[in-house]
Amino acid sequence: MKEKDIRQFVSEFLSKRLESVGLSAGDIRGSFDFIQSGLLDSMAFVDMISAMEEHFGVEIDFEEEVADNNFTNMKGLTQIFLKKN
Amino acid sequence: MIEDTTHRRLIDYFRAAAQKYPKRIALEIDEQQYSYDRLAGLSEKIADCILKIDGHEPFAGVLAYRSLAAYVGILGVLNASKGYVPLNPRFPFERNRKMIERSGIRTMVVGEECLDFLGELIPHLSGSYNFIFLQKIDLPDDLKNDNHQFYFINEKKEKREVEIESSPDDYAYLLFTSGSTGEPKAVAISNRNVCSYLDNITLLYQFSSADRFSQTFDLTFDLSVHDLFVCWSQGACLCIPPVETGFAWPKYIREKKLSVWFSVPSLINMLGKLRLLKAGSLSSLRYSFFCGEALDERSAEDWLKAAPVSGIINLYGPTESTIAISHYQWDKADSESALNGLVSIGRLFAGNNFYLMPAWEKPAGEEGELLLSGNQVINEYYQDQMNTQRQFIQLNHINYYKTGDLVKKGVSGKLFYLGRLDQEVKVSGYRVNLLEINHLIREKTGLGQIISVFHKKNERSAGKIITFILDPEKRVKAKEISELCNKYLPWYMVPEVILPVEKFYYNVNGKTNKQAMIEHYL
Repeated sequence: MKEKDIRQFVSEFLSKRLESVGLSAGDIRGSFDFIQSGLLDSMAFVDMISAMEEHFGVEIDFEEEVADNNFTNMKGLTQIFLKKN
Repeated sequence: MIEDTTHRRLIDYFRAAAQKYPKRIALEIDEQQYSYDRLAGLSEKIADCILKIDGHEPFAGVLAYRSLAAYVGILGVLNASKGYVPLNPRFPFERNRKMIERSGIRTMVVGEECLDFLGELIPHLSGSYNFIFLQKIDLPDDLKNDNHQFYFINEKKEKREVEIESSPDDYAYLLFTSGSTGEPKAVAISNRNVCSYLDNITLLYQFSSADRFSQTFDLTFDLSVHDLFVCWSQGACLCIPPVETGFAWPKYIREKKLSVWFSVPSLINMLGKLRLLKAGSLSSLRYSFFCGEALDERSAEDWLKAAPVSGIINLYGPTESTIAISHYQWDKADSESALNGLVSIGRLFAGNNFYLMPAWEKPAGEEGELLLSGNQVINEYYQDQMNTQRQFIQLNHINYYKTGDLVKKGVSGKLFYLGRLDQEVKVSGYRVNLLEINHLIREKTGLGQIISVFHKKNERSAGKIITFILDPEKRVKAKEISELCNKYLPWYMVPEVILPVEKFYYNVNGKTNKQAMIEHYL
């Protein structure tokens, strides 16, 4: 899995939502935070993560990641998935 | 036996504990600890200040978020024998302005963390207001305004006993729930209502002053009243997590050794999906309460695995019946523990009654809309005749509140939640009337045909609100509608997806076919 695969998955998964709020896939990068931005609530964010795990066939140890607490932004999220490579 | 609570008020539960356990810790915010004595002293000074500056208004506001000011502000307002109105910096200004105007408050206790929010809120307010801060602070220039008065509490000053005439029928708090007409419904709970709840729950479950309580709910959500006052009635410690706790709840429970948990059930689902509910990992919990949405058996099992020594209690009740009006301690061995996979909502607390209003062709008494009356149930909405007429009904000279929930009575007498009868849905435990969203968009844009649906991909996924707007000429800009919703509605009511569509689908009866809409457009 590459960074662009993750970006593509996220933008496809959120396409309808992004359209509604007038954002484009390009806006979702770096420190963009899915929850703090109001784009998703925490439940919807977890649904996206579950879908990503299934799509890429990996299981993340969130016990560890939650401590860092920055996996709710695009950069952090991308990193925890890339670590699984 | 339940004591006579006729003359007791919500604040008396805190006061009694503060007298008995002055040095115990009442509140822990992150690492900071506050004793009962300190909260009592501070809240009396706030009360003193309120009584000096505020007239006879029945309510005063609290604009603070997870800070000392939030908790001591509530106690201060109650000590001044007024009901509190929690405002929410996470809600849009418009929503807060409406809450302020509808409640008629003139005075608010403000936390420093809400200074920026207050600065932006003030231009939206008409008239003059009093703002009370816990300590002397330098006000930003944009806040200095001749219309408004600012007061600062001096904690070091000698405290003065505050005692004023009050009655148990005085209000304890005022909250707002979503309404179909576009106006939130104002629910004013009296001291009598809430004392009845506290007496019941503390009689049925054995709490102690050694307990450590969670506080997951925003103060605008009435389940927070349970967190604060069940805890403080026992001399126990209320633990306030950092704002960004989010997914770190299990870690927080372990680190803080929480013994009493209370949240919405969907939190179990969320943590479960992240595999954060490891077996035995929450063994400090003695009681876990869930309320606000239906608790499914699988979630109850997941939680029990993580918290093996905890009792799991399903609470049920709309805001209008004060926090929760029925309870059931889940017991897998009970042959009637669940129906359709949903854990029973159990039996009503003492002092309340129900009636099942037959819906459709069912025999009376077994299944129907749940109507409620009794000590915990309000008789009317606050200054709102229209909604009162709509939601309350007289039967055999008893005034009942119509919950809109379809409920079945089992052979054992326990109640089971079956579903909703109207357009109200639960989003993260919050009540959302979908018609309120449609109404807002219609009113602000003049658009005609709007349908909002609450869609769940599957049983375990988070539901989302989707709003379809009939727009054959492709003139509607989803972004503008989304901004509009963000301006007027709390975050949990804002549709996740706004879809202008070419045509609506209808079923044979001419009603819009929501399922077909979802299938075609999503």
